[in-house]
Amino acid sequence: MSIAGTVLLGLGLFFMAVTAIGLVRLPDFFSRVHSVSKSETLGITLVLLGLIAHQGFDQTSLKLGLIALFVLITNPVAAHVLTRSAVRSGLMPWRRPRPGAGGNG
Amino acid sequence: MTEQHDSIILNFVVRVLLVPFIFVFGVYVLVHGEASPGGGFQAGAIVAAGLVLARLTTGSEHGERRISTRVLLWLASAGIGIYVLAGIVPLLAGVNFLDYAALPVEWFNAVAGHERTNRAMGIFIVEVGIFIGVFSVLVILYDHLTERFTDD
Repeated sequence: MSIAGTVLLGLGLFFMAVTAIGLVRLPDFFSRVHSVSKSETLGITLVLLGLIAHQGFDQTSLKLGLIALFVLITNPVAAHVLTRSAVRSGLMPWRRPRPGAGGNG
Repeated sequence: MTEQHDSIILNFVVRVLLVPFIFVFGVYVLVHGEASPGGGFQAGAIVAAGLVLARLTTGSEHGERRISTRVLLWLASAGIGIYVLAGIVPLLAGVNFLDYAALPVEWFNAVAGHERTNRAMGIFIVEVGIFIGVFSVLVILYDHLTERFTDD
């Protein structure tokens, strides 16, 4: 039980680190939102599953499961609303700048 | 005054999944406040967050039709009134202000089958008053802030 929990926690922390790197390194708004919504949801869910595995099945792990369920529901919805309003207000996706075209990329 | 958000996903998730759950969780925090972190103020803030979320997504007009600012003003006054009554009634019975032991609430144990002391009941009555007052005042604040933006 404890080994499975630790493995899940480690995987979750890996995906959270991927989220943080993506948030800093990706070029524009859309790819950053995509990084946060996908891998952060997975990371939080894995961390909470690892905590449930450490805790065993009781009332506390039921609450942790509810938190995981609501993160799974709300995080993609928040990303959806963010990107939708960005598209509505005319933000264009990033493109690789053509060589020789000048500009600031 | 805010417009309704036209994303069907957001509307469905907020109205069907989130806001009812937030209300249930707020009441849980209220009634479980003696045994765990929580109480009237926190429960009021949680329920007010749910109402403000509903007003943000479905638009102020829809929310105003459900619970108008007039009703919220009455609710806020009623919350303070409950608190004050819980203090005044023991005063009329001849003991100190807010001395819950003198509150006439023994009948509730007979109805609900509980073994609560009068002091626990008095604290719970005060918590309910704080809950009603806090959540209605927070929603009134939100309504006034969003109204101001459309006026000028």
